[in-house]
Amino acid sequence: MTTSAYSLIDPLSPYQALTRHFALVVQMAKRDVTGRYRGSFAGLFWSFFNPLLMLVVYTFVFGVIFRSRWNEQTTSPFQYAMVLFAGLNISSFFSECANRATTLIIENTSFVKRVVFPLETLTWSTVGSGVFHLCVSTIVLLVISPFFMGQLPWTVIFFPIVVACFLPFVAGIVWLLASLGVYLRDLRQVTGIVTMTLMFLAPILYPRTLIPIPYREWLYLNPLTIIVEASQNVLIWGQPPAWGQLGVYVLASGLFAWLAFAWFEQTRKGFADVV
Amino acid sequence: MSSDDFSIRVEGLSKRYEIYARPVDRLKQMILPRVQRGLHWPARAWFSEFWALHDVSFNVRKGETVGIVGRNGSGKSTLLQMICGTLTPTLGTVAVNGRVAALLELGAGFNPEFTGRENVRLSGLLYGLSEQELKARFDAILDFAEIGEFIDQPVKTYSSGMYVRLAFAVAINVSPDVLVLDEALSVGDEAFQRKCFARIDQIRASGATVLFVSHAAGTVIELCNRALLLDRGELLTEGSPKHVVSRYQKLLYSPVDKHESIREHIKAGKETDALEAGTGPPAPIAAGAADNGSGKRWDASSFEEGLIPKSTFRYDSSGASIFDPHIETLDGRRVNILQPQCEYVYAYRVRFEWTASNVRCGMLIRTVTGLELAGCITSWRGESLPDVEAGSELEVRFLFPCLFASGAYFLNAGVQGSFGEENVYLDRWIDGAMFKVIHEPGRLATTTMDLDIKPAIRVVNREAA
Ligand SMILES: Nc1ncnc2c1ncn2[C@@H]1O[C@H](COP(=O)(O)OP(=O)(O)OP(=O)(O)O)[C@@H](O)[C@H]1O
Ligand SMILES: [Mg+2]
Repeated sequence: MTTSAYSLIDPLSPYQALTRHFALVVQMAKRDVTGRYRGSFAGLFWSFFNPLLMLVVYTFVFGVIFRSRWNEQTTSPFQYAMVLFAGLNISSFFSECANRATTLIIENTSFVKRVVFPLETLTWSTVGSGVFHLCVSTIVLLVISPFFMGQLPWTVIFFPIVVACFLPFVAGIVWLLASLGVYLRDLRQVTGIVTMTLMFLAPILYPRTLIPIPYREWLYLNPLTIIVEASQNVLIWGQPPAWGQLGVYVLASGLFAWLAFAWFEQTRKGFADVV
Repeated sequence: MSSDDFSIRVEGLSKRYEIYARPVDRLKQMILPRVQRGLHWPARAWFSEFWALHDVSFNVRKGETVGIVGRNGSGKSTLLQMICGTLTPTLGTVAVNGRVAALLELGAGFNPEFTGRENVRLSGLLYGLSEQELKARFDAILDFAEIGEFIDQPVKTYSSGMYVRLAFAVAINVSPDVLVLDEALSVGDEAFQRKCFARIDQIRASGATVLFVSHAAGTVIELCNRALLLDRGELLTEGSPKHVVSRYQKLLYSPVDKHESIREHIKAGKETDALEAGTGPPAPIAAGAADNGSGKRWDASSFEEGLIPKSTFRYDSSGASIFDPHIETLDGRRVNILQPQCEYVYAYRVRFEWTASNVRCGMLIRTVTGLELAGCITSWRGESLPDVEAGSELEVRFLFPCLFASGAYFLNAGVQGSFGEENVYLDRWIDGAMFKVIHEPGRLATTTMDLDIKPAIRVVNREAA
C-alpha cells in the first residue's frame, strides 16, 4: 500500500511538494529563520553579524597569522579568507541542512500524529531557511569584496544558477536523512562526522591543485567539490562556472532528489509507529 | 441514501497497531520481508501487534451529530484519528465528504515551540485557507479563544484549557463540514464549555456534521441524534443516544466475569434496536411506566447487577455492623436504576454484637464528585433507641423521593450508639450503595436536583404592556 499523494514516477514530484504547499513552506521557513533569534536583542541582525565576524576571524587567523595565500598572484591577507569564506558558506549550508534533517521528523511529532501535515514540505522549509542564511553570508561577501579584492566580478550573476544546481541534492539529503533519522537514532552523530569530513575533503581550505596528482581527481567524488569550485569561480575569480561539470551535476542531483523523495514517501507511513 | 448525502462512510475498518521494540525494527519490517520473500525464506515480523479496532462499519448523514462512547482503551480515539486521516487504516476504508476540522486528544497538532499566533496561521494553512481567509478570520479566532496576550507566547506555556480554547477556536472558524471532537472540551472551564456547546449547536444548524467522543453520558444524550458504542475495538451497538448510553453504562459497571455475556447481549440486541436509529424523538423509557394519579409514578425502574460502588469504604466497626445496604421500591423490589420523581426506600440492617444504648442510624446521599446532597437520621440525640440487646438485628428504612436529575449517586450508612458515656459510631459505610437516575425525556431539570420546577415562557409585547 502506498500512501503518497504524489505520482512518484514523475521525476518532478519532489518539486510539486514545494509548489503545492508553497504558502506553508514559506511560513515554516520564515518561522525557522525568525525563531532562531527569538528573544535576542539584535534579532535578525545576528544573521548578518555572524558571517561578518567569521570573516574577520578568518582574515586574522589565516591571512595575518598563518600568512596563507590561495595562489601566488596576491599578497593580500584578505584573499585567502575570502576564498575560504565562499567555500565554507556552501559547506555550512549543506551541513546545517543535513544535521537538522536527522531530527526533523522527531522534533515535529505533533505534525506526524495529530494533524494531516504534508511532512515532505519540512524538507523545503529547512532548505529554504538554509538558503536564506546562505544569501545573507553571500551578500556580506559581496559587499566586502570590492574593498579588498579590487572589484566585484560580473560573474556573481551566475551564483543563483550554481546554488539552484545544488538544491536538489541538498533536498534529497534532507529527505533521506529525515526518514532514516526516525528509524536510526544514532544517525545524528554519524551525520556530524560525515559532514565535517566532507568539508575537509573539498577544496575549501586549499585549492584542488595543491593535491598530489594521483589523488586530485578523487576529490570529485565529494558532492560538494563541484559546487564549491563553481562558487569560488563566480564569486571570487570572476570566471564562469565549468558548465559541463555543472550540467552533469544538476542531472545527478535531480536524480538523487527524485530517489530520495520516493524513499521518503515510501517510508513515511512507518513514522507514526515509532515517533 | 444518495451519494452526496453522506458525510462519513466507514466500511470494515480495522486497525492493527504495530509495536516495535526499537525504531530500527520498523525499517527492517519495511525492507526485509520483501527480500526474504524474494529469496523464498520464511518472513518474520519485527513487531508485536495489537488490534485496536475490528471491522467497524457505519454511516453518518450530513447534519447528524453522532456520539461515540466506550470504556478507556476501547478504540474511540483510534477510530476518530482514522476519520481525520492522521492514522492509516490497516483494513477497510473511510470516506469523508468535505473539510474535516478536528480536536483530537491532547491537542490539535500545534507545535509547542510556536506561538499561538504562528500556530493559528499554520493550522489555517493546513485546513486549506487562503491568506485572505486567514486574515479575515483571525480576529474571530482570537475573540473566541479569549486568551489575551498569551497569543504571542509559545503554546508550550499554555495551560491545557488555554490550549483547547485556541484549538477549538481554530477548528470552528475554518467552516468545517465535519467537526470531530475527542473529549477535548472537558478541560475547558464551564463558561467556555457552555460557549463551545452553543457554538456546536450553531455549527449543526448550519448543516455540518459533528462527531464526538465523550465520557459524559448527559452530554451525549443531550447533544446527539445518534450514538455508537465501542468496546475492545468492536462496534457493539448503535442507535438512539439513550439506548446506547444505557448499554454502555451497563457494560461499564458490570463485574469482570459478566462482561462477555453482557457484550453478547448487547450485540444480539443490535438488529431489533436498529429501528430506533435515526433522529426521531426518543421512545419512552420503559413500558411499565404508569401514572398513579398522585403525580408519583410507581416503579418502572430496574436493577443492574454491576452497579456497585467501587469506592466503598468501611470504617472499623465496634460492637455492631451494618450489612446489605440497598434500595427497593415501595413494593419491595430491589432496584438501582431509579425513575425521577418516584419514591424509593433505602434500607440496611444492623447486627449488634454488643448491647448498646442510645442507638440511632443515619444516611447520606452524595454525588459522584462527593458533594453531600441530602441526609437523614432516625432521631435526634436524646430520642434514640434506649437499648439494643446483643445479638439483635435492626432494620433501618429511609423512604425518599427521587428528586435527582439523571446521573449516578452514592449512599452512606452509619449507626451511632454508646456503651458507656460516649456516643460513637458503631459502624459506618462510605459509598455503601449506589444508584443511577435515568434521564426521562421531557424532564427539564438541569444539574443535580430535580425539584420539578415548572418553567413558563412567553413573549411579552411591549406596546401591549
Ligand atoms: N500508538 C499506539 N501503539 C500501540 N497501541 C496503541 C497505540 N495507540 C493506542 N493503542 C491501543 O489501542 C487501544 C485503543 O486506544 P484508543 O486511544 O483508541 O482508546 P480510547 O477509546 O480513545 O480510550 P480513552 O477513552 O482512554 O481515550 C488501547 O488499548 C491502546 O493501548
Ligand atoms: Mg481516547
